[in-house]
Amino acid sequence: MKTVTLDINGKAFCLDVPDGELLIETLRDRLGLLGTKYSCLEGDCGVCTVLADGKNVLSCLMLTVEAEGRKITTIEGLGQKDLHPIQQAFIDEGAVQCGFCTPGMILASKSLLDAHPSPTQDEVVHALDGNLCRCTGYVRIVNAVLSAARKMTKTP
Amino acid sequence: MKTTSPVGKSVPRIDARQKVAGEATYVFDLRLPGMLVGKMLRSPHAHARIVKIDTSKAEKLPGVRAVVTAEDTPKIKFGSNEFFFPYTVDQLPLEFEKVRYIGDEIAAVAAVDEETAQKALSLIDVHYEVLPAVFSSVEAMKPGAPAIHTAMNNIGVMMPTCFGDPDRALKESDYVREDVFYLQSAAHAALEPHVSIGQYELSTDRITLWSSTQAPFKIREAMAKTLKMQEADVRVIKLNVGGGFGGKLEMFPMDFCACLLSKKSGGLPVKMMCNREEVFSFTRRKHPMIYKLKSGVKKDGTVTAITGEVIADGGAYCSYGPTVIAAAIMRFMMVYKFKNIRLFGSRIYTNNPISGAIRGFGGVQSGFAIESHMDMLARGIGMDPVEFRLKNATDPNMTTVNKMILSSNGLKDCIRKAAEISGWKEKYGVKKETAPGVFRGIGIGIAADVMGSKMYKSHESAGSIIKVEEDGSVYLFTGAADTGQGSDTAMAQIAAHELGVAYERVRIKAADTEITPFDTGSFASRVTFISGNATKNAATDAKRQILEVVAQELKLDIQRLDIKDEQVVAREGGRALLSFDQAVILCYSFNYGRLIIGRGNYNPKTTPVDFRTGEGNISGSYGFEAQIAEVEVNTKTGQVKVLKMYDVHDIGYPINPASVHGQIEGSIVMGLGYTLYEDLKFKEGRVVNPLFSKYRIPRSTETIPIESVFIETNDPQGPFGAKGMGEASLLPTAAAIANAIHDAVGIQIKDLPITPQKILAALKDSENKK
Amino acid sequence: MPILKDFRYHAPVSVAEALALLRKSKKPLLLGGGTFVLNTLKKTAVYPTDVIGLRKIAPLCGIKDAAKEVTIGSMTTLAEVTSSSVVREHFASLAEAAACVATTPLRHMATIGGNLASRFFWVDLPSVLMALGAKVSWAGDKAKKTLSVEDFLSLKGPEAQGIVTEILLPKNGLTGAYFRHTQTMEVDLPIVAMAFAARRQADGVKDVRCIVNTTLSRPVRLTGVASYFETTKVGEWKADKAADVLRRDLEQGKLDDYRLHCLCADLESLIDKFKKA
Repeated sequence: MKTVTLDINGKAFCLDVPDGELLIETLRDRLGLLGTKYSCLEGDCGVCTVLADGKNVLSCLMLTVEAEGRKITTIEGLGQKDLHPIQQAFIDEGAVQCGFCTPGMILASKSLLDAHPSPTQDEVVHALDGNLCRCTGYVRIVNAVLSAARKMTKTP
Repeated sequence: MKTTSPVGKSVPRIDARQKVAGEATYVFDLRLPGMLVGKMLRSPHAHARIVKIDTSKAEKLPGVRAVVTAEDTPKIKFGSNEFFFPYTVDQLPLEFEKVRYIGDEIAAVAAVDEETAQKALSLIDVHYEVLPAVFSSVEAMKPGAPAIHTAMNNIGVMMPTCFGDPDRALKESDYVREDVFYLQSAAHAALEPHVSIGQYELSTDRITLWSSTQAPFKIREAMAKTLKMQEADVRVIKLNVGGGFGGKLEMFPMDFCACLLSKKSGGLPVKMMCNREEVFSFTRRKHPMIYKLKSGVKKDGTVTAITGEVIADGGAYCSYGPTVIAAAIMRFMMVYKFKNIRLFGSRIYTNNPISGAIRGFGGVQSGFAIESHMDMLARGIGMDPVEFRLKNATDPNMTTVNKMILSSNGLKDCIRKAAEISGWKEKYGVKKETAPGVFRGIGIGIAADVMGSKMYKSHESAGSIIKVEEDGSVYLFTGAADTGQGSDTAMAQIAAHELGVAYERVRIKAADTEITPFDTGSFASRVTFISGNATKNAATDAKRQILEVVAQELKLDIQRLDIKDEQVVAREGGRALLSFDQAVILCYSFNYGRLIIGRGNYNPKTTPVDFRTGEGNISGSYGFEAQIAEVEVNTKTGQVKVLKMYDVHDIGYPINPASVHGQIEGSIVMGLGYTLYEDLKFKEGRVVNPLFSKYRIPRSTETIPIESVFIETNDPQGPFGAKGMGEASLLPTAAAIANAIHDAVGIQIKDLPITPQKILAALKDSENKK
Repeated sequence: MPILKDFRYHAPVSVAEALALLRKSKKPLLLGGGTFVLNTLKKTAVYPTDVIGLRKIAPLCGIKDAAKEVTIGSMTTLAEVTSSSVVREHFASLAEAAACVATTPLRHMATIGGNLASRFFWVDLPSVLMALGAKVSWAGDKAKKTLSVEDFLSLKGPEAQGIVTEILLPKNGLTGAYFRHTQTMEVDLPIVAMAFAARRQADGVKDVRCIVNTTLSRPVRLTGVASYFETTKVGEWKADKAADVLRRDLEQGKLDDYRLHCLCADLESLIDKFKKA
């Protein structure tokens, strides 16, 4: 067991966790942050995506003890009452169907737009290559990210 | 935000806000007080007799609250196509005599945590007498093959279609072709795994089951049957579902066991979930098929006869077998005006995992075979494939040879439009080498969609209830099960539009068997059409109730009133008389005290299908589409790149254009995966690649430009002219690509998936032949 | 839950501390980015007693640009390798190869050291590093060593217990190329790949390295192909001749037709690239 202090969505949590606990378990089972889900537990589906220091990573492949010292952002941290432009763009562009991939997709998009505010279509497509979606065929998801990028670069 | 008259507008999905905020609840997320972890004991053998099951050690393990076997059940079998095919009732929720595939369920445990439950499974002692197993449909049909059920030669389902005089027609043909097509198995790969939570109330003997499902009423029916309970005592609740695609269309033993374990553990809720490997290996898969065709055509392009045989590997139990076979041999009859047909479809039991419903049912397999064959016939008489389709395609207002009644039918318009937007004339048959060894080609495939298919019950009705509260809130109760395709949104739009109020006013409660009216579920592209009509009828009823009060109060004739844009208006002239809110307050006021409860139901006009011949009008209406694929084939590496897909779809009228396009795009990309690389592989009855790393499904990098166009035929039966859709765009994709490959490099691949190795081998073959 | 069985986790801050832990622990396991190790742990019955995380060892992080060579810390993520302006300038084929590995989130986590130390046949980077003449800085039980990639990959048994600390890339002015083939899609594992590097000189090339990753065994150095390219003027390079030499180089491996086919197509692309430049 280790005592760790985690920075999740800007809040500090002091927890006692087993050494072998994965971040996805801590988020869902200890902190009740159910927006982050999982689908394969093997690093192939991207459903468990969170941001670590702004970059999209897979919470099913990160030990909670190694999340200490990093700023972790889950979908709840992006926006719940007031939506982030990326979240709004997903709604407006019809990029949400069953919604299971949606939190991970949105966070992966945030990671991209933070680093590349005006990405090309190709850059968006490659940035999302770790997030599976079975419903949409990705078309509207890519449109949503490009639309969010345009809106975000316009607003000062 | 007030969106009035929302039908036809791409309004935001009614559940999108919760989903983007991470607040949407799936059964995957649900926790209940005292919840136990349930786990399933599955057979490690493909075929074996169960000699003895000893659960005593498992029961004694500290932390185990319940262990169940078939002995805890009434041992009643169930089958998903039971109503019309009673002989397909072949599965027990827990087996006790025999196991028939690796994964067959025999016992389940509920424990305080996952580790204990897993340990308990290992303590259940099962003595098996291993039996010889058979894994190929062809081998399973041979005399002397191991008998899996009691069906002779392991033929679980046999369906013929016979019309006209095919033999004579073939003799009179100018060109005849005989080909065999091979279709591989595939997985639904919905992102939310199968998950069930069951809770048993001991004092009343009532069950509540939360399940990630497309068909809660179907589960209720099967649970009531297998537990010998009344349906009223089984409540099945659907929350948000992370995709279904046909893989969550029936009761699974885990639904059943979650409830049984709850009963045995003193009423504690029990959660059972499949991990990704288990979803791939033990839930459902696509029917692999061998599709043999011998068809003939006249010089003028008229197809004379279609004959052949379809052999499907059904796996260990029947599931939706009959529906799949029916689709495999009948779908094309909606598309083409064929007069002489003889096709035998058989579904063979094997000791492989269960083949079941998957988007398109057997239509994907038949789509590939028939649409490839059409191109081959066209080439045989030197006719352009687009012209060939136009020559043989069905028309509006006609009855097909098997008595399907087609009313609105935009198929020919779809074909012509697709040819136009893709530049077919300039591209087809023109050799185009874009880089050394890289050639471009274009190919077409066409298909039709049903809107439900009466193969499950005597009726296919859906019902809706709308209540309007005193403050003007509108609540819609519908049995329709949204699994992501957007039916909740469509229902809300239809309700709002018909009632005359803004879309944002509507709240929806769906798919809870205790609260919402009956609905058979999300499959066969039925929801917009059938549930949509029920919802429209409920809204019409609610509106009438409001207008009755207004008419009485204002001393006007109700026939002259309507509700539009949140106002009660005079039909003639459109003058606003009072607002919707005022009208509602009036209803609730002292003199009237009238609650507004609108009810609607809808049963599509269909006729039962005679499964001895394939004759019958299976759907209330039919949708149509044409798909054209542009590909590039690299003859050095064998890689096929799909450059663009054109899809022109007769959807009647789009309730929500973005949702309709979204379904089309999703289907096409799914079809792309199936055509080029998705392949669920088996060895001795075990899935060899039950992981996303080994069973690849399309990613963002595989996405392609898709031009999706609607043809609006305004169906006379559909709500606001809308037809159902959701599957059709998956049906012609493989053939469109295969046909495009032929246009590019002159080879017709007849077995899927189309891998680079197959391309290179076919090119080499074709070189040698020269 | 829990997904993983428990173990003792350590976060040493120096290589010496990590090595001491390696020696002390009954069944130690080194943890770099976690993308291989944690995945394997979910399925394996053979469990470590101690997991030694390398995240806090500062010297293992970062890319240093010196006059004669570039040093990449073993804990540098693949995303960092791809986006490093230093790597892109001097070793473009390495940046390219790192960008091809797996998917975006995995590249944010996986490390160059992990890719090499995994010793899996199907990983991308070893062949590219071989082509670029990279050396591996290795802190083993007895001492620190600098090994060629080939020698590092050949370490076996107790000899192989240690920590990759840095990858050293000499600035040789080589032009590199990386070709990769997958069965289904870009993010897939490669089924065959070719890493190439050479120094341009007048109308020819010198110091050619042609490494094939068959994904069925350790990377193979194609001496015949290298020699063909070195001894023939660029303008006279012929794809079919190169293909013949390639087949001879790979005869022992008994590679299947499809892989050979892909490699021959790569030779064509390679020849094209060098002729155009």
